[in-house]
Amino acid sequence: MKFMALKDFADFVFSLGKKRGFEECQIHFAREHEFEIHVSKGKVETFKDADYFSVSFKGLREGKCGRARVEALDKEVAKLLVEEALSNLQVIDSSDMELLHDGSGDYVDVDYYKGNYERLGSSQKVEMAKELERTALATDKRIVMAPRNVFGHVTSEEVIMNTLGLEKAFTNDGGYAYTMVLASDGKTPKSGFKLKVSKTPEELDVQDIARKAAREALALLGATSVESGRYNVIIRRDVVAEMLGRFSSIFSAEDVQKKMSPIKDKLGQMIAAPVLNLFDDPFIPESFTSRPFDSEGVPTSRKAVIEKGKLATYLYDLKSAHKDGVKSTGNAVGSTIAPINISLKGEEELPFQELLKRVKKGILVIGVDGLHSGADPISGNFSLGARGYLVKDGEIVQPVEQITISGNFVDMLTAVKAVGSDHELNLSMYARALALVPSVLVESLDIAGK
Amino acid sequence: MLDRKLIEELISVVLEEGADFAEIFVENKISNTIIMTDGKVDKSSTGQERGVGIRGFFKDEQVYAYTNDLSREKLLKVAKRVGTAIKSFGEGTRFSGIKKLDFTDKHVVIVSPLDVSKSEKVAVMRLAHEGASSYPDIVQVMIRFWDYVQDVVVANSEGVYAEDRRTRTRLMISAVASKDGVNETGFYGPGAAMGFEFFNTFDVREAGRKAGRMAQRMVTADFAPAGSMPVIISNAFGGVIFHEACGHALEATSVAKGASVFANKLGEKIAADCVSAVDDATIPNAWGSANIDDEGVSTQRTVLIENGILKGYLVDKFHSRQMNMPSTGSGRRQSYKFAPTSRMSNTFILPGDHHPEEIIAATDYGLYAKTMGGGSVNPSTGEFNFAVLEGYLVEKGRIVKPVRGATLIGKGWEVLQKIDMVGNDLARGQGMCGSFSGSIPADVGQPTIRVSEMIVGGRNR
Repeated sequence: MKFMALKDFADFVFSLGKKRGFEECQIHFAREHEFEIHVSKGKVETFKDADYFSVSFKGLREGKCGRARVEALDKEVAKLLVEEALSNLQVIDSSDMELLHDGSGDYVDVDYYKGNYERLGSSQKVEMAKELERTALATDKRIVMAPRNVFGHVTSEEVIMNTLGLEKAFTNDGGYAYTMVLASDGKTPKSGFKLKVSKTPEELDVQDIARKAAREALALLGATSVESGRYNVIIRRDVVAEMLGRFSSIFSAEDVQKKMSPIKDKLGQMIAAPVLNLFDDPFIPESFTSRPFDSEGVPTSRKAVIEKGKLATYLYDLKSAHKDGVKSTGNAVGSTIAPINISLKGEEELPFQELLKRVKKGILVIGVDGLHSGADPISGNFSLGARGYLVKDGEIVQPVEQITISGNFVDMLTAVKAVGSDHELNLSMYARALALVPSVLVESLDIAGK
Repeated sequence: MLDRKLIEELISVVLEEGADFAEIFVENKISNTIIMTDGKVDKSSTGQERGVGIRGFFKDEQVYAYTNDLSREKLLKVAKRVGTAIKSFGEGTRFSGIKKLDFTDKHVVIVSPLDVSKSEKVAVMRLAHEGASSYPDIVQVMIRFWDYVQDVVVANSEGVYAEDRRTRTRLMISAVASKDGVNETGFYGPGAAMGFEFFNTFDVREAGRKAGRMAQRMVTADFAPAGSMPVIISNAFGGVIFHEACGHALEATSVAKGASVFANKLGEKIAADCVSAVDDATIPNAWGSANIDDEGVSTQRTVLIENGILKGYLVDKFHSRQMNMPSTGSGRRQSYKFAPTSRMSNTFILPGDHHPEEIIAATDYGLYAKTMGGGSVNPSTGEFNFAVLEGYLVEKGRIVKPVRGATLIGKGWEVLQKIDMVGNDLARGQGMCGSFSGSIPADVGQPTIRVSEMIVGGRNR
């Protein structure tokens, strides 16, 4: 099989598409290089070095869109793309208008690609993963094992072209390291986890990651459950990042239009405490999900989603924007609508220690489990396994495990009493985004335990 | 899909650099997804995935690479890269070519998804939509139709060459009920390793009603109480408790390095006497079944627990080296983009003596978890969690009212010992299981069981 040049391939597909009756066509090309290494007991358990590409096609006719995706670039798959898209288009009976973008608007040029990770040699990469394990084990003799020590990096390249004249490309890269360690006092094991992401390996301090994971596992030794009841709760910044990501679809205009969001009909109204500001910021320089345009080629932009507690805007792609008679906010991510990067800022921010001091009887939550199943973005309700520390009169008094925290996400935003100043860039897995967020103090949540 | 001579050549290249095992995985998969919202089809897409994964071992280290550039030059380059990354000083392993593995297809498909028009699929979706929207407070119904045909070739330096075709069809029905500002969702997602004939095996409209009924009941329910109490978990998808609380911790991925709470416990009592469980990838046409795993090993039925005694682990080729145990045909992966590792297939608790009604009648106070959502586990500590989609409060041996919003948490090794009643109504349910080698179809299952005490994450009175 011989590869066709991308532009030639697109032109071939477009002419084929027009011949088969599509009014407009679009090709989205994605290429990725993925490297990941797992070390355990000083050995390279998995070493993954891979590249792949995919081509997605959209064809429009009478406001409807046919879609197909392949992983090859030749005349045969070009035909498959067009024919499959056509048969997909023929079953669509929704009257919502599908559109393509013509390339208009301001594209913010940020230096997204650094290339530092790609320039590392294999042995340097192996060394970084091994260093995670060595450091974790050396922290304390009660650290009995570090079962996962992972280092990885990704470079992704996207090109989007359509028959309305759009032609945009960009390349982005970044890396990460994480470790999961086990501490034991001879009774039950406790685990600690720390992940860090960065644009360059120079910013990735593997020793610091390992020590933080180890300290967390050690601090949980002797943890017990607590009495069920309502408690003040401090949610640590990494957990805030995860929860915001899981519930980010409540801001999707498509979900709002489909009556699948708890903040339907709330535009301009208070949905959070007045101290809260939430942004979608596609240009955070340290984030490897930052980007100049979204999956539809529409320019991304920095905007407040919540401004002093008020819902400032929903997030739109082309189709949902057309339905509401507004402009796309550039938030098409794959086939969903999502923030590009999440950023949370307080009107007033307090150092983390100050947040602690404000707690009479509460829980500092440092980890939650079951976000994919125990959190429902349609109702906003959540009930999650959790761990952390019991806080009394501003002091951490004991580690806590085997509890759940339950509540409603929107109620929780409204019940935020104070915002920390300890901003950190964390992975927000469910939104496929990064989140630059601090810890927050919430008036109260339901805790189930003993 | 790839010339057999080229496959042999690629294996040789990986070995030449010093690997003591080489494997080639070739995949070609065509999938179709259709989404219907509010009774209207608003998205339909087709995807083709095609690529090659190349893997090498040297003792207990492994290297994996994949590409979807199938040109000979590129594949040889990748094979060389895998071999070189191993950097062993081994002698190299002798390789005398591959031989085709013959087996009888146990999962016969009658109507391939590739031969069914999209409008026929949409007709099925309409039935489900009708069923789901037949309750008064349903405001939204979303139906997702998903099918795929995956052709794979697995070949390795032990001489194995195996071809298999996996066909899967699934219907996912979500219904949202809304009342007095409260939204609740019902879900039902039946699936099988079958083609379009799957829809002749059950009543699709009734499947829709099941999701609708769940949403309707839950939208008027109170929140579940918070605290520790007896929990009765219904059959079928209720088996997610065993999947999370125990199954993941029996996978070689965590057992081999001693990072599982059940490592080094073979032959020991880890569960109550009434608990026996298996993993069985040989059930004809079941959602998690296959003829061979993704390492070319024939699948089997593996006894995991028998009368409370730990009998076996789920083992893949890589970890079988460290554990000195044969593969159980459990090496699975989402696609060529993942190196395979030990995974569950169809995993379930075997039936016991009690009628489910007896179990409820024997419970003075507790939660009846009728329908479960997904969950997760940390295999190293055994801490698991999962969501109850449809729950009821039990008082004095009777179901008294529906309750919503509960999550169940606990530690696997504790909960297994607290199972005190096992029903006779074994059934299985379908899910997608996510782990290191990606997201794969897996059945969970059990009869109705009772756990004497569990933490229910509800709301306080």
